[in-house]
Parts: sequence; structure tokens; C-alpha cells
Amino acid sequence: MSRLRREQIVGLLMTLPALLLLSIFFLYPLFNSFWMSLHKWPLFGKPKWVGLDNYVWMINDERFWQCLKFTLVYTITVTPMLFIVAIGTALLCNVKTWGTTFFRSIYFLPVVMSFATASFVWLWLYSEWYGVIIFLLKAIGFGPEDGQLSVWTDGWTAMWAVNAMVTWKFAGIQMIILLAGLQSIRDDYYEASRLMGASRFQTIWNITLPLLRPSIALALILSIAGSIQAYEQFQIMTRGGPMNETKTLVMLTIGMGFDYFKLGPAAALGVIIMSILFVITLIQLRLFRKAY
Amino acid sequence: MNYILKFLIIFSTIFSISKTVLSEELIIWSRGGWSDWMVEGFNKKMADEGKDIVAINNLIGHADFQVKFTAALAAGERVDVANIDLINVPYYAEIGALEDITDFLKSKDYYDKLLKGMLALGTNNGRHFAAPNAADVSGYVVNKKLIPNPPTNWAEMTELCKQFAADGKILIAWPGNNYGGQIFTVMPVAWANGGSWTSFDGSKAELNHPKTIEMYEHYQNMINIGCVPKNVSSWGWGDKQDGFLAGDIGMIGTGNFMINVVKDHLDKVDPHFMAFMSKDGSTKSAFIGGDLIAIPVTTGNKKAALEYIEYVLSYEGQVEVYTKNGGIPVRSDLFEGNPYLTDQHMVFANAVNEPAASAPFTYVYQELMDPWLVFNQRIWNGEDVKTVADEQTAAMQKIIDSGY
Amino acid sequence: MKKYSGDWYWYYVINSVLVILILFPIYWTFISSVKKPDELITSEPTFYPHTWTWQYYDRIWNYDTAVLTSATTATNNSSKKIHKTTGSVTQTIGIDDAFTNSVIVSVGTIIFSIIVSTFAGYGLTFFRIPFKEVLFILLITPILVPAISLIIPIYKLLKVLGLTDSYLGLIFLHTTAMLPIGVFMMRNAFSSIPNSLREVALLEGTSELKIIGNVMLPLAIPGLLTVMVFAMYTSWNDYVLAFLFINSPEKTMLNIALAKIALGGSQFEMKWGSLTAGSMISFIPIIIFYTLLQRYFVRGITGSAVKE
Repeated sequence: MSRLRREQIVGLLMTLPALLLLSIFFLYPLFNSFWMSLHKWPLFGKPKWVGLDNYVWMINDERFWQCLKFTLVYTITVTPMLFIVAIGTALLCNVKTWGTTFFRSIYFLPVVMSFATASFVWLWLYSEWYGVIIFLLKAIGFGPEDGQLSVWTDGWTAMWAVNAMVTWKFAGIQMIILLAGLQSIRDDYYEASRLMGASRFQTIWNITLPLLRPSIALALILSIAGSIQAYEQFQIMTRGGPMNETKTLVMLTIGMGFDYFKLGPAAALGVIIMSILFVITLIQLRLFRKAY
Repeated sequence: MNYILKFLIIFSTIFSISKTVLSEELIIWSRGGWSDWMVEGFNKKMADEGKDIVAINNLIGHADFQVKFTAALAAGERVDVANIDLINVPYYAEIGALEDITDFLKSKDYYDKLLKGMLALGTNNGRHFAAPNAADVSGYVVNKKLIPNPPTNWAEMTELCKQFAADGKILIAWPGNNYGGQIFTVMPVAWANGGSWTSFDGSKAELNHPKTIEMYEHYQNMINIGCVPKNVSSWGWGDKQDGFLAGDIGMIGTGNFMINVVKDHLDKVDPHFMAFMSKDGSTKSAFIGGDLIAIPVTTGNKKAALEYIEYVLSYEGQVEVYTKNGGIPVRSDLFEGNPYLTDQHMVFANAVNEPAASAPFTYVYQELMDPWLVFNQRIWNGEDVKTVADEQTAAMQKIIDSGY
Repeated sequence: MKKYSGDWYWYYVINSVLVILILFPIYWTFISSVKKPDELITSEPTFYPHTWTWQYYDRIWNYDTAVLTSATTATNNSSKKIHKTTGSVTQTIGIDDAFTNSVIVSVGTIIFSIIVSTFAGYGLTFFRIPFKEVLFILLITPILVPAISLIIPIYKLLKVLGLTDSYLGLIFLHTTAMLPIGVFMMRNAFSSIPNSLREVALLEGTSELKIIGNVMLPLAIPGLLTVMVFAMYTSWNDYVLAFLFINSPEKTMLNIALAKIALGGSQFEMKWGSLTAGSMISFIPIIIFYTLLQRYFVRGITGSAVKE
């Protein structure tokens, strides 16, 4: 056996565990999900080929559009919140001075907590009887005098309440991404703008942000992808909210598959979610094409 | 030839011995805590009779039962006997997941004494696939410390409501956020009044029946008067029960299990149990809920499973185990002379015989829960009852039509 | 990184305010977990615990979740799981067991991830494998596809493999989710080690495994630690997979057990003390990882260390 041949085989063997895991637990389910979505799956008996019926059924169901609409509204509202906080803290941390490292660690801290734990923490904060946020809001003057102030009775306020939690939790990751981008901007640019007498705001607007494009693109893509797949935060905090107003696409998928045992439509939903993500990511990459 | 014969004889002997050894075990899936005692009693009886059957109880609990049971069926996992929430049984019977036990049931002398409403849910095309085994009946419980004269019709309820509202107290509360709780304790009032949830065969959604609308308007009116918390649409089962047990709520919808529960709270509550009633109080109703017992097709020992069902439906099972622990027997011949059926129990037992008492028949219960819950919550939030009823009935009908 | 040229005052004020805002929820959870019930369940919350008690930690660690949601449950013996108020049974688990379960799965994920990523990264760096680049890209793809889209096929797959309701099934899934980061990190780590080092060792007759163990790994420790940190993060914090694919109460993961407490019981009940205590308990392991290995978290995200 030639030396090259032996090297190739040993190399392949080394990557084999990873490839095996990938094939069994990722590639196979990936193709299977397309396959499953094209069949009807009775509990007993053989699966029946139905072609695109599951997709047609799903698209004709109001539940799908309600969840899709909410998922998109949620994504559109939470993304700017996350971004603004992230860029703000990133700019703040982009200085070489005592305390910066400390501040940065704190801003990143909520990220490491699990999503579920963060949901519990904020559920307690928002508790309509004993929660401290409700207490503070009432002190400022919100809510009826005698009644209970609850953020969960209206779908809109429920969403914003959850947005606050998500921003607190994930701004840290975006901050790190943006920070890395900020640090790669060479000091000459800042020198030049300072020499030209630009104000801080002008510097940020004309120099920093454009040069930050690739990092912004990455941060946004990750953020939007995550928002479209929202599940835990709403499952734990609102359980779909008042009358399904805060039900997300993923919640619908899981319900369809595991509560109603309609496996075909559930798989179809999974494929639809994948496609939506694919299209949105593609659009974002296009928009940011001009990045350096 | 001789060799083959010998081999076959030896092989089949070993096989049948091992089969008996293996199939001795009976795997029972249950939802309620009393099932432990039932299984205990059964095993003792089998030992006394010298039979080699040992039942093992798998207590799944009712929160996850339906999901786990369906998953087990799909995987072909062996389950010999299952105690299924009766409202899910039509689905399982329809898809062929349960064994036919018609002949077994018909051979029993108590066959026509089995609670009809429950038996109907286990029947598919005239054949029986499940038998009633544990009844959970619903009704009102009134705290006589707060309401010395329990209302006998809606007008009296409304009067009480005005009094309570004037005093700033809660007359009645219900679990607006809980779909199961509402179908158990709110819908039956509509049934007493003449309404229905679905048609008898489950093919039509009937929430917008005028009598149902009338009942919901009555309840909604009470919220408007002010004796029901304004945010009742977000109340859970625990909220109303704890509130009642603490002496803060005048009356609530509940089930027969409450008879035992309230015993610990007699300092705050003087309980009076009564059935749900129609507008003029003449017709009574209840939700006849509980479990049906069935043999899934994945069973490994149908004969032993039938022995277990026989025990459950026997006097010992129904009276000594089930009623003793607060349940209502599923055989009407066991209502008389039952040492454990107190007057309080009889309120529920009698409600079972009311013509308006029932449990809805549907193949798609899980999915229907969604529009059903939305129906309730929209009304408790103040929307016009007729509009909501029409819209939600249409939503339910769409789900029923797309099938399971 | 610029040297700060503005007013020090503003910088510290803004940052301090932000720090207080960000830390507040965690601070609040902590003090809630140690307040006595009458100070906790009140409509006038106190911002500093006037009373101090460890009772919630004790309750949550020793009793099962059914007891934790209801003040009216009589028995505190976790073998009797009958919920007194409804007379029905809820499947319960003690938080101590749930904690152990999560530890088992997380440690398993860490070990598997390290092994698989190290071998794959090593192979992809030093060997001339056919379609090397293609394989590498393939291993990165999972990051693009949401796990949710695959849960139904994964469920069927696990059933066929007999891995539903098992630690191993969950470990495999978490490790697969870790592949993109793990392989990427380890390949990066190994690429920065000169090939000559390996060639020399090979010429001296050392076996490949010995090379990995004695030479490569020590040099690739930053990469390893990053993999470890992310494996812990992915596994410990997972909710969806743990929720869907683990059924037996004894095997329930920590997040799910805590969710049962959060969603069970009623508004008026005592669950908040238990829930906040449970949240702190769930937070502690990951906080330890974070304090010690913070820079590896950051590394993983940016692919290289952020300047300090």
C-alpha cells in the first residue's frame, strides 16, 4: 500500500466518528424530513404518498398564518432592540481603560444562562401579584388602582415583555461579534477623522459603521435566524399567550407532531421553516454584499 | 420423521413454558393514583386463586398520558391494559388500536348496568373496544359558610351575584385558561340548558346552539355584574380550587374527588354539592368523565388482560378499591347498598343518570381544544357571545372535517 | 482599541447604570431565593432581604416537584407521589436527580465532543484526505439548519435505534449540534502547529495516537477548552431536545423539571421560592465555567481572542 493511500485511509478513519454522527443524526433526518413531509403517517399501517397535500393543507390553515405572522412581527421588533443595545455596549467597551474587561464580562453574563432559566427569572419579575417589575410600574402609575396589572393578558404587551427578556439575554453575544469587528478597524482611520475635525457622531456614522458591515451582517443573520426559531421563551412565559396570539411557528410544529400526531404536516412545517430561513439569510447576504 | 416430531414436541413444550413464564407479567398503564391499590388487589386475588399472573402498574399521570400512549402504540411497545381518559378513546378505537371486547362484556350480567354515556365512547360501529372503569363526575360545590342558601336556578344565581358584587366578594370562578377544566365544569351547564358540544357522532361542531349561547351569556353577565374576577380568562384550575378552599370564593365547578379534598378545609368551608342546572333549574347535568379501560392491540396476553378487566369491574374492584377511595362506580347496580357512597357521592351518582349528562364524542379532541379554549377566553374577555360562537364553531368544524 | 479621550465621569456613570440594570434580574432572583415566605409573597417587595432562609434550597433539593408547587400537598415523602388536592398523580422528580441527569448528559457531551472534534480536526489538518474541503464544509452545515425542522425525523430515528428516552440519545444529538464549532475550533488549533513537529515525531517512530496525546493536545489546549466550554453551554442549556426526547420522570433534565414547577400550581402558591432557588442552582455550574474560562466563550464566537 502506498504511503499516500495509507495516509488517506488513516485520515478518513480519524474523521469517521464525526462523519458518522453527521450522517446519522443530521444528514439522514434532513433528507427524511423532506420525505416525511410528502406522506401521510397513520398510527397503524403504512405511510401513504400524498405529494404536496400536507403543504397545501398547512398553507390553507389559519393557524399557520397566525403563527407565521406573529413570528415575523416578533423578529422585526426584537432585532432592532438587540442591535441597538449591542452596538451601544460594544462602542462603550471598545476603549482601553480600567474596568472595560469587567464591564464586558457583565454584559456577556446573561448569555451563558440557559434560555429556560432566563425565562423563569423574568417570569418571576413579571408576576402580576408579586413581581417587582409590576410593582415598579404601578409605582410609576401604570395599571388600574385596585386591579392587577398583568403583561400577559394582551398579546402585544406580552410580546414586548418577552422582547425585554430576550434583549437582556442575547445582546451580549451580538456585542462580542460587533466588538471583534470594531477592534479590527485600524486606528489610522480614527486618526484621520480626528485630524479632519470630525465630531464623534460623524466619526461613528461615516467611518465606524460602514467598516463594521461584515460584523453587523453576521450579528443580524444570527439574530434573525434565532428569532424565527423562537420556542422556549414563549412556551415558558406565555404558552402561546392569550388565545394563541404569541404562538410561534416552532410551537405549532411541535404541537402538530407531538400533540396531534400529524407527522406529515409537522414535517412539512419543518421544511417550510427551513425554507423561510434559507430565503431570509440569502436576502441578507445579498444586501450585505457590498461589505468589505 | 420421528426426529422431527420429537424435536417439534420438545420445542413447543419449551416454547409454551417460556411463553407462560414471559407472559405472566401484565403491563398496566394508568392515570390515577388509585390504580396502585387496584393492581395490588388484583395481584392478591391472583395469588389467592393460584393463578400465575402478576400485574405491574405503570403510573403515567394524566398530563402526558395521551402523548406517551400514542407514542408507545406507534412504536409497537407492549401494553396489556390501558386506562385512557374517555374523551380520547373514540380516536383510539377508530384507528384500530384497541382489541374488541364486545363478547366479553356482553357475557357479564352487569352489562346493561354499565354507565351508558361512558360505554358509548368506547363503542365503534356497534362493537365495544373499551369499558368504563373509573368515573369522574362534575358538579358545583357551594360553601355554605358564604352562601347559606345555594341557588336553584340562574335567576337566584344572578341575585346572589349582585349581592356579592356589592360586597366586593367573589361568588363564582372558573378556570378560564384551562380547556379540560372548562369542558368538565362549564360546558355541562350548557348541556343542562339543552345545548351540545358536538353532535352525537362527533361530525358536527355545535357550540353555537342557541341554548349554549344563552348559558354563556348568563356566565358573562355575572362577570359584568362584578362577582366574578375580571381576569378569569387567565385563571387556572389550581387558582379557583385554592381560592375556594381558602374560603374566598362562594362556589366553583368541581368533581367528585373534591369530597375527599375538602375534608381538610372544613374550618373555612361548609361544602354542599349539587349538579349543574338549566335556566329554570329543572334539568340537571354533569360531565361524565373518567377512564375507560381497554386492551391495546400491542398486548402480549389478552387472556390475562381480560382477567384484570374482570377484576376492575367486579364488586371488589369497583366498591372495595375504587369507591372506598372516593370514586363513583361505573355500574349502576352498585349504587344501591354501597357502604362507601355517602349522600355527597349520591349527588354525583344521580347526576350520571340524568339524560342531559354526557361526554362529547370526537376523534380529534386534542386539536379541538385550541378553538374551544379560544371560544371560552374570548367570551370571558367580553366579546359578543353569538359572534364568537359562530366563528369558533367554524374553526372547530374545519378541524373535524380534516380528520385525524 | 482606542484610548479613551472623553470624560471619565460619563464613561463610568453609563457603564455603572448598565451594569446595575443587567445584573438586577440575577440579583433579584438570588435574594428571592433566600427570603422568608412572608417577605417573598407580598405585594410590597423589599430590595434587600430582611429575613434570610435556605428553606427553598432544602425543599427543592430533597423533595420532588409535586411538593414544590403546592402548599397543600401533605406528604413530603417523595416515594408517595399522590397530589392531595386533585387526588391524581403527577409524575415527579427531585431536583437533585434532575441536576444529576443534566450533569451526566453534559459531561457525556463534553467527552464525546472533545474526542470526535479532536480526531476530525487532526485528520483534516495533517492528512491528505480525498474531498477534504467538501467534508469540512459538510461538517459545518448543521449550523445553518434549525434543529426544529428535523425533530420529527429525529424522533423516528431515535425510536428505530432504541435511543428514545436515553442519556446516550441526547448526548449524540448534542454532540452533533456541537460538530460545526468543535471541528472548526480543533482544525484551527491544529493548523497553527507546524507540520514539521509531527514529521519529526513520526520519523522517530512514535505512533499517531501518542503524537496526538503528548504533542498536539497540549499545544491545542485553547481550542480544547473552547470546545469544552461550548459543549457544556449547548448541553446544559438545551431545552427542546431534552423536552421532546426524554420521557421517564427519572431521566428528566434540570431545565424541564424546573419548567414543571414554573408552569404547575397556581399563581398564589409557594412555587416562586422553589423556582428562584432552582434557577440559581441551574445557573451555578455554568457560572463556574464562565468565570474560569470566559475568554474561551468569547473565542468561540469570534474565532479568535478579543484583545483585552
